[in-house]
Amino acid sequence: MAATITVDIPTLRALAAQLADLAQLLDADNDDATCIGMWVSDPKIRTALKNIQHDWSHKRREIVGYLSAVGRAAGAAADAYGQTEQRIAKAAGG
Amino acid sequence: MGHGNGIKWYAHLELPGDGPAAAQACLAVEPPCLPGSSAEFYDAAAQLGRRAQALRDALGQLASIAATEGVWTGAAAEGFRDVLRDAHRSHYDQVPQRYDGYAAALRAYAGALPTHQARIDSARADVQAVLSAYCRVQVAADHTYAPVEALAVASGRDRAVQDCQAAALRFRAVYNDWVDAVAQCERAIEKVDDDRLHNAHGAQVAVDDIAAVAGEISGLTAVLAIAALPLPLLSEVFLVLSTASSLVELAADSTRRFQYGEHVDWRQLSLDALGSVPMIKPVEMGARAARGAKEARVFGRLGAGAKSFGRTFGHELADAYAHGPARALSNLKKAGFRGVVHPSSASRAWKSLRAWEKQDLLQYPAAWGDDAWDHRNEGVATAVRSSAFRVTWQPFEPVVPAAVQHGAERVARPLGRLGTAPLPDGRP
Repeated sequence: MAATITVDIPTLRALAAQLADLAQLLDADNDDATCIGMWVSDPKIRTALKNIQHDWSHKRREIVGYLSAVGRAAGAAADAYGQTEQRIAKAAGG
Repeated sequence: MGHGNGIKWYAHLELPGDGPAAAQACLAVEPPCLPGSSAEFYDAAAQLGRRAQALRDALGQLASIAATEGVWTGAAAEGFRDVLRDAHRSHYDQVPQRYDGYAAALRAYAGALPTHQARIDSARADVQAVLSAYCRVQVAADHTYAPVEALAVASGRDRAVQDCQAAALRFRAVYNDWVDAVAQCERAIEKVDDDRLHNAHGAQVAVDDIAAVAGEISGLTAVLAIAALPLPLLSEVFLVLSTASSLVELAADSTRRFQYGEHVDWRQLSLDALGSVPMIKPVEMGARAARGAKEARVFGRLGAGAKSFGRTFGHELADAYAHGPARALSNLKKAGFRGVVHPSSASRAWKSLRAWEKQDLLQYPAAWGDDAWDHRNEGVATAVRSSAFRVTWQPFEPVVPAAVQHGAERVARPLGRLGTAPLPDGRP
């Protein structure tokens, strides 16, 4: 067997969490209370930021969905590989 | 400050001609203090930059997972890679750029804001001082009665008016510079929207609608062309409509992809292009209709399953898919083709349809060409056009063979005349 099987489960789990967080943040960036426009107090610049954020709402929704889906997939993969490792270790231990 | 749609916009300061009034206007200008602080804008820019970097990192990690083909193999790997999308093709890699664009705009404004604030504060103090001086001169003038003193006071008042005018002009200049800086920041933010992420608007919405409507019409008329084969003239009309609407769909989808950068893949464009070839779309839709009808057991119970079928495909298409074939069969029976429609032929039809499902669309031209080659002794033009109909109706043949042959041949004749020149030996 030439290939080496290495599954970095903590990294996979971290990636899942990172993607879920990112999806949540992107979603929040257009929320009325937490949108990026609210980060500045100048009303004109705030309005410009709100408008520009609103103007890519479709694509952002798509990306949020994508990041969430991939995050869930990565989480499921981390769980599955974790369980597999445990079972194999248990079986090998007799 | 101007007002528009309930939103306060900063406007360039206009001054009245009178010096003291101009100074008053400067002091009454809104906002009295510039909104926000440099630190606040820098913080927001830093947060946006962190967001951009986090997105870039995440997309980079996903790209490296997607690139493990050959290293990570198996069903899990395939399943995971199926979820992943190409960040460049789907324009996701433009999101970090967008956030960086916002951040750059805010950072530039944050850098200039302290200077603007200092210049405005200074100019405002000057205006305040000269206006106070003018008021003092004015009070003195009110209490001066001697002619010599009156002359001096008048001279002082003129000077105070000129000072007011000069200070107001200086204030206007620095205030308008700040208004320009805000507008520049706003434009820089808006410029970020030049990417491929923004929602459709204007003509793009119209093109999207045209593509969607043309696609619906093309699909519906393709099904109707098949369903109406026993009525050749009607079938021909539907066929022409289907072809024309496929051409419109192709043009609209090409515009969406190449003009507006929307995600229209080559598969969609290929299907549009194939649909614009007469008979291809009807074949594709006919096969799908038959499969749908199979699920609804239309052939088994002649439309009894149309209710469940309609739930799956929607009212319009369901009507064409489920009722269309049923009506066609009913018409065939009335026309004296009772013998050709019988339950036992249904099983053979499904077997044939299952095979059609496998080949679906892509093998159709090959089958067409193969059949035409087998019948090349009939003459190229005749072989090509009659092969199209033989191959087209192949899956349905066990159900309504006589009607199909009859209808197909009648449709083929005028279409053949449209698509091919007469042969040298005079055959049509």
